[in-house]
Amino acid sequence: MNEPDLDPRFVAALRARRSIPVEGFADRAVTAARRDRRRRNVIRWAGLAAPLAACVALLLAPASGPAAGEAELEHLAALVGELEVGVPHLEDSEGLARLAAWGN
Amino acid sequence: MPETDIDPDEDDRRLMALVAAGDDDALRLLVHRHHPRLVGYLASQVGSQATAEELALEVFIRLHRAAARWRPEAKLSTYLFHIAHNLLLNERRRRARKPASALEGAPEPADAAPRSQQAVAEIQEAFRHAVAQLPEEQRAAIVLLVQQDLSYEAIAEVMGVGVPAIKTWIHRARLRLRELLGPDFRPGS
Repeated sequence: MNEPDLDPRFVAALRARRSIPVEGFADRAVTAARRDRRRRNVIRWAGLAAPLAACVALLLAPASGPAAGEAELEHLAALVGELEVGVPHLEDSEGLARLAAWGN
Repeated sequence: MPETDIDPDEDDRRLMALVAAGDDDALRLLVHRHHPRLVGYLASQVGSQATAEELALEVFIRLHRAAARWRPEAKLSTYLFHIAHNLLLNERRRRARKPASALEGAPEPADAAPRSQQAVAEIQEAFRHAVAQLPEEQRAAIVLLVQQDLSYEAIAEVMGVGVPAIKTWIHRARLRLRELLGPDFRPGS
C-alpha cells in the first residue's frame, strides 16, 4: 500500500531497507534468550531459598536449644549461599529435592 | 506437502507453541524468519544498524519470555513490531536524558563508491535525513506503511492507538516529507 503522492524514488529507497538479513543473528538471539532464562531461574530460586531456609530454621531451632539453634542457622545460611551459586544448573525438581533433603 | 503450501502465520503459531514448551530450535526458526524485517524497520527508526540489531535481539528475548502467555489474536509479525515499537519508546525516553543520543546519531560510514553510486547515495541520504526529521509517531507510521506494507489496522495495533490517529499521522508525514524534500523530489520530477 504505497502513498500515491510520495516520490517513487523515496518509496524505493525506503523499501530497499525493508529487510536486512544479519548472518548469525538467529544463533545470537537463541544464546541471549537462554542466558535470560538462566538469569530468571537464578532470581526465582534465590527468592525461594531464603524463606524456605528460615522456615526450616524455625522448625529445628527450638528442639535443639539456643546454642544449637544458632549453629543450625549458620549452617543454613551457608547452604543458602551454596544454593544461590548452584541453582543455574538445577532443574526445578532437583532444586526441590535438595531443599527437602536439608530439612532432614 | 510442498513448503509453499504452508501458511506462514499458522506455522508461526505452531512454532510459538514449541517455544513456549522450551524448544530453542523453534525459536531459532522464528528469529531466522522474522529478524530481517525487524532489523530493517528498527534501522529506519534509529539510523544505525548496530543499534537496530541490539534492539532486535531484545525483541526476541522478550518474545521468548512471553511465549507461554502469547495468544495468537494477531499475526506474530505485528506482535514483534509492537514489542519493537515499545522498546523504541523506552529507549528514546532513556536516551533523552543523555545529551548524545545514538538514536539521533551520525549515519553509518559509507563504503567508497563510484561517482554515480555516490549520487544515488546522496539522494538516499537526503531521504534518510528527511525521515529522521519527522516526529517519532509520524516516522513510525510512515515507515510501517510504506516500507513494511502494514495495513492501517496493523499499524494501529503496533502503535497501540486507533486507526484515525494513524491516518492523521500518515497524512501529516506525507505533507512534511514533501516540504522537507523540496521540489526536486515531487512525484514525476
